[in-house]
Amino acid sequence: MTRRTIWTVLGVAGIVGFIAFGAGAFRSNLTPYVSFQQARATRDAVQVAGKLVQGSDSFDEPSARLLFTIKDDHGDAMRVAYKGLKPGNFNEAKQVVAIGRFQGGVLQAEKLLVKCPSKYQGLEEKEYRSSSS
Amino acid sequence: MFLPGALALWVAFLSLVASTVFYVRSLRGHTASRAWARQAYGLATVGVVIAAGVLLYLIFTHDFRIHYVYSYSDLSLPRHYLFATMWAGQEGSFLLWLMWGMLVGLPLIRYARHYEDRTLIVYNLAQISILLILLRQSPFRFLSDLPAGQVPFDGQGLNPLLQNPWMTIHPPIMFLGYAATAVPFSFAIAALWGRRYDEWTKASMPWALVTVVTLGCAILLGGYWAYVTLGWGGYWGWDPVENSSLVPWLASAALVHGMVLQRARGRFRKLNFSLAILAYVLVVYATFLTRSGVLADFSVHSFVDLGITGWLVANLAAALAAGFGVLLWRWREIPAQPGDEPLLSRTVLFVLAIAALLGTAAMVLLGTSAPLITRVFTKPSQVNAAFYNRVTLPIGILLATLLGVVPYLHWKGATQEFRRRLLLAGGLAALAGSIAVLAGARGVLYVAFLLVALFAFFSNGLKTVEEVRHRRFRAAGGYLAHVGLGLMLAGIVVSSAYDRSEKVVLNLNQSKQVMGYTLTFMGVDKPTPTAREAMLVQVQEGDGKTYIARPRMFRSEKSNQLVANPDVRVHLTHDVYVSPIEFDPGRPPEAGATLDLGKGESGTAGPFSIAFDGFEMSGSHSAGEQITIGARLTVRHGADVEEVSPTIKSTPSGFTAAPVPLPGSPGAAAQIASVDAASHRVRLSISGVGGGVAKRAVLHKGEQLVYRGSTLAFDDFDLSDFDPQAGKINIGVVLKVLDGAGKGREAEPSFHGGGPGAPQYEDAEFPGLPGVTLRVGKLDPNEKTAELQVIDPQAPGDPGEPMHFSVDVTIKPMIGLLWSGLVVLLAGGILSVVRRGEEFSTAVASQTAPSA
Repeated sequence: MTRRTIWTVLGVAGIVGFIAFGAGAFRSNLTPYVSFQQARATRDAVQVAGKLVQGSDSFDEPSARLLFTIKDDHGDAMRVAYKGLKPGNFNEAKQVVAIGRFQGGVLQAEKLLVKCPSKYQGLEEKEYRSSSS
Repeated sequence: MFLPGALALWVAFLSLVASTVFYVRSLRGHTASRAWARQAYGLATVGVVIAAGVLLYLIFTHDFRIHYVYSYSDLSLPRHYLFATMWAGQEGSFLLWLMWGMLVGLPLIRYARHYEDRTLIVYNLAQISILLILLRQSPFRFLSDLPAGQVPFDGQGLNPLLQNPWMTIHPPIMFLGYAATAVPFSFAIAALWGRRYDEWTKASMPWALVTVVTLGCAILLGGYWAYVTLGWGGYWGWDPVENSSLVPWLASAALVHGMVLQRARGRFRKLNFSLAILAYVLVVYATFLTRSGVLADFSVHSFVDLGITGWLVANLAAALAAGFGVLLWRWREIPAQPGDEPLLSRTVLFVLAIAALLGTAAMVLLGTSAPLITRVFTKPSQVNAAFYNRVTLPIGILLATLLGVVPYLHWKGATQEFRRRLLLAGGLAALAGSIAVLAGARGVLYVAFLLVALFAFFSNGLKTVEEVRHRRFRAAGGYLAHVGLGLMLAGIVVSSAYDRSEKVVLNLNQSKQVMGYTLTFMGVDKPTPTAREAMLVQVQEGDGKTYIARPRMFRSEKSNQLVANPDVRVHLTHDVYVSPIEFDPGRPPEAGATLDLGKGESGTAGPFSIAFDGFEMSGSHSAGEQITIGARLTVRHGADVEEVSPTIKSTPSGFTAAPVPLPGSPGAAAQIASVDAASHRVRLSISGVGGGVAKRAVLHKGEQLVYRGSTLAFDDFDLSDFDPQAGKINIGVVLKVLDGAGKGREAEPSFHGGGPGAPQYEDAEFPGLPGVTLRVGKLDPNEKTAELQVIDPQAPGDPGEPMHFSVDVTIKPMIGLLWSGLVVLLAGGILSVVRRGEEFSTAVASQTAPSA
């Protein structure tokens, strides 16, 4: 075998090994978008989305967690606990996406994504001034 | 559409098209066309700069007819944030990107030489692709459905999170980096097209370095901004927006190394063509990911689908097809020299480093694109941050090792001092690493990463010192950059793997111990009504020194968005990071007694006898000032006599009353509830003396309430003075005492509303219970219910709820290494840009000389 062949073999082996490593990590860290039911059934990290139940959020001081309830389209409700700062636009949220594991009756969220109604809505109620002034 | 701006963009567009056409003619042998092409390019540049100027003018003159100005600015923004408005939105940032691109093209025309026609054709097309987006989604369009002749009074304002000095300079630097990636791309295609496979690397290398320096700087500025303003304690969250600038940076870093390699060894041409095309395609792909809305469900950043997704996809397809199409077309013609290099040579290490950089880029790209990939098979899903940490850690270790070994290698083997120097650097790294382990560093992979990062730091540091000692300053640039990189990697490992954090709830004026620090919440600082609240937390450190941390938490008036900023205290070895989680203003103690006093009258509340001596005023309404009214009171408590004066302030936004403590009884305070200037009467709320609402009940007609042995029944409403048409909403509640001391007697507390001013409640004595009064609460005419409050001066009183503040305290060790490493990296990078730029100019000069 020439040196070049050795290089090629090593290179291909390295690339294949790396791809396998990456693919493995990818599969094991994928957080699938699931229904509430599926989220309750698994111990893996998942992603769920639902409507925020207005007024359901409270701050639990001893555990320093934000607790709230989200509801899916079928009316199924899920309690979510989030260890961290309440997202800035939380109370205006149309929909909340939570990523985490279901444990002890609540979804322990590591990450929250809050989706708000477009900030350009409600323009009609704004104050106007005449352009001539 | 605001005409001057839109016109400037159209002029720029037509000029760019003209420039491209003239360059094509020039390429066909029509040499006079080249001058025209340059002129047209110049005109296009002027057009774009004018468009940017017009947008800036509209922002500064607060022209809220313009959608962009209305959406991202308001009247209250200070000047530097008005500048930042320019790139706060999608359209403005595309315009900024385009402007950088046009400006970068000016020196490009001058230095492209043999490549000029072809390079500029490609470069112009790349600019046109951005310009088309701006023409479709113009920053100059007016607000839609605006009533004719009307302009909004104020804009919606700039996102308060973006109102940060770092955020004003981050985007311009970022987009300079983005714009610069088009240069190597254009050169690569021109080189393939014109079959000149070598010189293009020389001409485009300074630009590739500019991308590496600016994009790297911008990425870390963004990280620094996140660290000091967002409060989640980190600088990097593997968010799609962050990743989408990291990936082009990794590709550009690989490209720079590939170019060095090609120039030194005369090989790896295909690699560099691929890298130059890839870097640009990745920028376009990143733009597609972050601006089309495809990742809207997966990123904390707000992505709005502007309806330009189609354009972005078309751009991506065009860049891919043009780039790799031309490369494949010439693939077999590109000269390749198979070589045989020893393993321990700079050549092989460079190849490995390029592979590692590309491997990292591929993994980050894979993770970021997860929602797009998984969409094909199932519902779109994303990967969590653990994925990125897991895949980048081993590659990072490999990269840092290469980084440490490479300074003492030649292109074809090891230098003489190779062993000695590496032993020295390794020894120093081991020493520093042992100190870290003694200080608490654990975990095999983390310690290994730390060791190799330190090794890279020391090895490159030694080499830099040698170069400087031999007065080869410019050659030191690369090594110096790697010194910074070693520092940064060490800082990243230590600060993220060994940080400690604890959450704590702080009551007002109470101290709590957290990780060796004593924290005391001292209250809210809001010096002016419009100032943003800062929470004052006194932090006593282990050595007894104290400082006041000022984390912020406020609600933005415009967007009603809750904004929280951490407080970061920087020390040599660690940062103390105090981040707000939740603030509860608490509830002041409810007034136990109310005194309604005329001048000279007095009354009793708990142990106090209080006399009202008159008002004192300051400020005047006519000057638009705040008026402060004080009530002079003489307070007797046993034998003690003292004068106090609680005040009430009238401001445009309402009244604020300041309570004063009453002497002799801790927690007792008096506060003005209302003043009647005409009749010189004052109403005082006295809290902390006991007393107050002892019982609350909602009664239907006929229902009963029992208090201290007396039974009271709700008999009926008294509507004898109820006439809403005459502005009289007076409702009495007739109550009968059925049992107890006042048996048989009636009481009628009432509600008086409908007139000017706030509704009044008229209390009634509880028959048979001296001092106890009855007050009406909520009346429900539909349900025919009345809420009733029994107010008893002997009730225990309501202590209120203390104000409290929850914070997350994090100790971040050695994070300063990251930022100082960045500065060193930048210094090295800039040295390299200068060096490569000069090399290129000299090369140009030597080429020109013989022909002249």
